[in-house]
Amino acid sequence: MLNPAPLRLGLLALLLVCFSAPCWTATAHAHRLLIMAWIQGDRLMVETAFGTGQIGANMTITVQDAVTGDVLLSGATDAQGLYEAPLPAIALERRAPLLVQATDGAGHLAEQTIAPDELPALAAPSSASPSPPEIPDLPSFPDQHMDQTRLSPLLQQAVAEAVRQEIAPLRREILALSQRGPGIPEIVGGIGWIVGLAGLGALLLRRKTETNTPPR
Amino acid sequence: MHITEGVLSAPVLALGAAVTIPGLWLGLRRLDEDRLVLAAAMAAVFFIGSLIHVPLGPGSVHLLLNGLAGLLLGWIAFPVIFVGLLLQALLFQFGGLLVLGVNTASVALPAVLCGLVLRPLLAQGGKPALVAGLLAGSGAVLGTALLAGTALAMTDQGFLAAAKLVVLAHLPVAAIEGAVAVFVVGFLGQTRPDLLTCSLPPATAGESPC
Repeated sequence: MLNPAPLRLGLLALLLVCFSAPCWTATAHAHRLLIMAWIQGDRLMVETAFGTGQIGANMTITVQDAVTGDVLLSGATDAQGLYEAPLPAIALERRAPLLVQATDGAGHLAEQTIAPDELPALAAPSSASPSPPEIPDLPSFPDQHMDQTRLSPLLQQAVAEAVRQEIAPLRREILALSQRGPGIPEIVGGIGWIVGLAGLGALLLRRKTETNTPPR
Repeated sequence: MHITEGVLSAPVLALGAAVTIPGLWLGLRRLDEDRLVLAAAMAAVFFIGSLIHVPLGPGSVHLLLNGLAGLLLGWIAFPVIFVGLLLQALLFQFGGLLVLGVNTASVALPAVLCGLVLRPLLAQGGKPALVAGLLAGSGAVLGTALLAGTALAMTDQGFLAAAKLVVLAHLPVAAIEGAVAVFVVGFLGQTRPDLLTCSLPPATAGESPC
């Protein structure tokens, strides 16, 4: 026999949770480590943040060859949640996808894979010149006449570099947008699943009780 | 407490599953019609609890409310917390499916232990019940942090320092959850004292404790 006391209290708690959930999510987001990694010139840029909007400072960054698993780079983000390092020559030679991982060592891990076509050409000066990103490492145009076939790739590279730098703020904007916590549909859906499972449980328990009860 | 997928080694994941599966079995065996709705309500509260976060240092921690589930439901807290974590993994991408065993074990085991130890105090009502609420609310969170930290340390020695940080970071959460549990137990003691004896085994066969 179903006792009405816990039933009423449980239903009241469920209703309270259902109706107050949207209010809670407006001010509180659960934490999930987020990562955004991209190539800028010959440098790898990584930005980390928590789903709460907090900056992911002092996160350990590891860059691996996604095929072989070799660790190519490692370091930590600064106080602004940023990590920046020149791409090693071996990464440019192998042209393998790069697996960038960020962890806080306390159970949070975020990772992103950078496709090989995002890597700069090996001909571009890379780790040998640790110049700041604001000075793009574009090959200088020689004074002598250049034909169209040589000029075109250089132009393409210059345009690609300019676009990369221009969309850097957009990348950060996307990361900020992705920091939003779970929405109301997910929360209400989850509570719906719990109610459904409870209903299923009640059905199974009722059948079990009826099976065990001997017929009169 | 959500350890993310890919952090723990396979033996630790297997150990977590090996603890969780018997816990689920025991919990489901004890789940009856009287406790079903209360269990569903506690699952919903646990499911939502992770959204209330406390910013702390470089990261943030969130409420667990597992002590309350263990105190009121005993072994039934295992399936309750499993369902909550499963839905959080599927809908919010917190934690993950492979690491579900470890996460369930680290959250549910301390809750159940607190419930088993403290429910005789809870059944007495009055001040002993409030003390039981305080100890369960705080103790379960600290136990969870300790188990999660141990799982991290077992995977990689480099995590040991961070595992200590996990425990330290959860001290404020333990205080908050202790206060929440005292409030809930006090409220139940005044309105539905019969619920405080729900987790105790029935005095006579066939009699419902609720």
